[in-house]
This record gives sequence, C-alpha cells and structure tokens, in this order.
Amino acid sequence: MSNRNDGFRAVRGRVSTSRAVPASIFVVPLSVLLVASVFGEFGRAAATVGFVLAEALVLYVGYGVLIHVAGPVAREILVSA
Amino acid sequence: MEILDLGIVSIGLFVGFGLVIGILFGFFGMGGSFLVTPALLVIGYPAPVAVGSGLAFVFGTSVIGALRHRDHGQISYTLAAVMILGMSVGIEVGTRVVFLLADLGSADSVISVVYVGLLGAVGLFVLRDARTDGSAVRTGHIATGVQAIELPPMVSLPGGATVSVWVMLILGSSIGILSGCLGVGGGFLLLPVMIYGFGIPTAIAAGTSILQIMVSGAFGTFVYAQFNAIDVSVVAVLLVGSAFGARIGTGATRLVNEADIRGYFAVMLLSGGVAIGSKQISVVYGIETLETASTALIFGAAVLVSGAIVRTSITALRKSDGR
Repeated sequence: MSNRNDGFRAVRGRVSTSRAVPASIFVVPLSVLLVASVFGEFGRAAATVGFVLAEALVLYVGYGVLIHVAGPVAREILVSA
Repeated sequence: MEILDLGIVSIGLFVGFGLVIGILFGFFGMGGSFLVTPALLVIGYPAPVAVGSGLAFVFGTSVIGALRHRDHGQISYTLAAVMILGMSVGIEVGTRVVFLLADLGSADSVISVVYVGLLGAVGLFVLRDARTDGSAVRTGHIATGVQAIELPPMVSLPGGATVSVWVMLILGSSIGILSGCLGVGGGFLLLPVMIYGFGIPTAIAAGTSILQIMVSGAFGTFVYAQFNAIDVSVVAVLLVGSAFGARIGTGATRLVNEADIRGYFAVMLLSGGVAIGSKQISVVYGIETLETASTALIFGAAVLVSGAIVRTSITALRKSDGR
C-alpha cells in the first residue's frame, strides 16, 4: 500500500513538473512583454531577461526530448560509422 | 535572407560557435562565457555590446546548468544569498566602469588588455594544474587564512568552516566587478574561492556557484539591456548551439578523462589572449592580416579543442563496444 502511494506521489510530481515547465515557458515571456509595454526602458530590460529565460527553458526541454528519442540511434551510427 | 536581423550565414556561424562553446563548457565545466565576449570583440562588436551579450549568454547557459543540477540539492543558500548580494553590487559598479570607459573612448582597448591578462593568467593556472595534477595548489593554507578573519557576523558553511559575512561580500563584489566589466559568469573564480578559500566540498561549491551565476547573470543582463547594449539575436542563436553542445560535452565526460585534454584547454585560453592582443595591435597599426589571423586563432583553437573532445569520445565509445 505504502509503495503504491509512493508511486502515485512520484507520478503526481512528474505530472505537475511537466505542466509547470510548458506553463512557465508561455507565461513568463507573455507577462514580461505585458510589463515591457508599460515601463519603457525597464520593460525592455525585463523583456530581454524574460526572452533569454524562456529560450533557455525551451532549449532545455526540447533538447532533453530530442536526446531521449534520438540518443540511442545516434550512438549506433557513431559506433558503426 | 535575414532572420532575427542576422544573415543565414551568420546564423550558421554563430550556432556552430555556440555548439563549440557548449561542448567546452559541458566538458570542462567552465570557459563558456569567457570565449564569447573576446570573440565578439575580435569580430568587431563595440565593447559594451560584447560584454552585455556575453552576460546574457552566461545567464541563458547557467539557467540550463541550474536546471540540470536542481535535483541534486547541493546548494548552500546562505552562501549563495550573501555572495549574490555582493556580486550584484559589483556588477552595477562594473557596468558603470564600462560605460564610463566607453564615454572616454577607451573601453575596447582597456577591456581587451584586461582580457589578455585574464586569459593568460587562467590559461597558465590550468596548464600548471594539468602538469602537476592539481597538487600545486596549497588549499589548506588559503582556507586557514580566510577563516582566520573573525569579523562578525560569522556564517557557518557546509564543510564545517565559519566565514565572516564581510569577507563573502568583499569577494562577491570583487568577482561581480570583473563580471560586470568583462561579461563573464565568474565560475572560474567562484569555484576556487569557495573550494580553496571557504573549504566547501566541490559538489556543493559547483551547485552554489551555478545558482549565483544565474542570478547575477540575470541582473547583469537587466542592467546592460537598460542601455540597449545586448544583441538579443546573437545571444539567441548562440544559445541554440551551446545548449546542444553542452549535452555533448557532458556526455563526453563519461567517456574521456578530463586530465588528458586539460592541457589543450589551457593552450586554447592562451590562444584567446594572443588573439585579443593581436586584434588590438592590428587596430592600432592598421595591419589587416593580423586582424584576420586573430579571428582565425580564437575560433580555430576552440574548434580544435572541442573537435579533440568529440573525436576522443567516439574512439572511447567504439572501444567500449568492442568494435
């Protein structure tokens, strides 16, 4: 029973993380762009920080999936080439 | 054809350079930032834009690095908070120094000279480290010296040391000034300070330093962006290459012994210093050939070292598979 509860907790954690990352990817730049339009110079600076942050998150998630999917194939090609 | 204000050839070159930097950063755990600003200086970007874009790049790579380290929980938040406070003050000071130098018309030359000295010093240190296998550093002596300063308030750190907050603030702000002036994350200074100065275990020092670099990088990006001194398109394209390269570099650490390649890394840093020096001489005396040579040197050395990492990894991979 306890093991099953632990399993549920782990899955719930993974689901919440997988929702949080894409949500933050969309929410951060959008909110930053909204702030940017109001505060001029500070807004531009905040938008730059938000843009770099959002891109880093997208790249982290995107390349993670890519490596997970294409990693074994790439390894096989490198070894046999 | 232009995307993000860059030609398709420029995009290809910057993605390729980002990939090379990423491989080096992923493999050695440092060196990502202090090749970007020199490279931008060498290809003709004004000093404030080269420094600002370098800091924004550092911010992006450290976000990715911090995400990868987040599960390990090897961070001293007290130390990070105090050092970030000091570094933020230092970055603000460093930024003002750069713009003051830019107003005086000497930012390019001063920053280039400092870079020549810095890359030379770090390159020689890494070279000595590679030759002596790290035994030349008298760690205990330095840590005892730093911990002997008992100026309250004192903070207990992981590893059992007790260090004065003022010492942390002064060291943090000094690294911050360098960071704000040169567009570097400062990991190559933060790590030795925490390991040798504060006596913190290496794993916690690495996790804490990446958090500090992320926060101070964000602050530095914000400050430079206010002056419109960040080329967002260059940073975006560099990040695309470096995020992928960092995964290759990190994977290579499981296949190749870092000590085998550390010597090449030192030579690459020294080449970077020579390239910046040559560029400045070419600007002063108008020698175009020297300018081309300096560009080839800084990019060529990075490509050669990252190429050696990839080649050695593939060889090790084939050996492990018995082919």
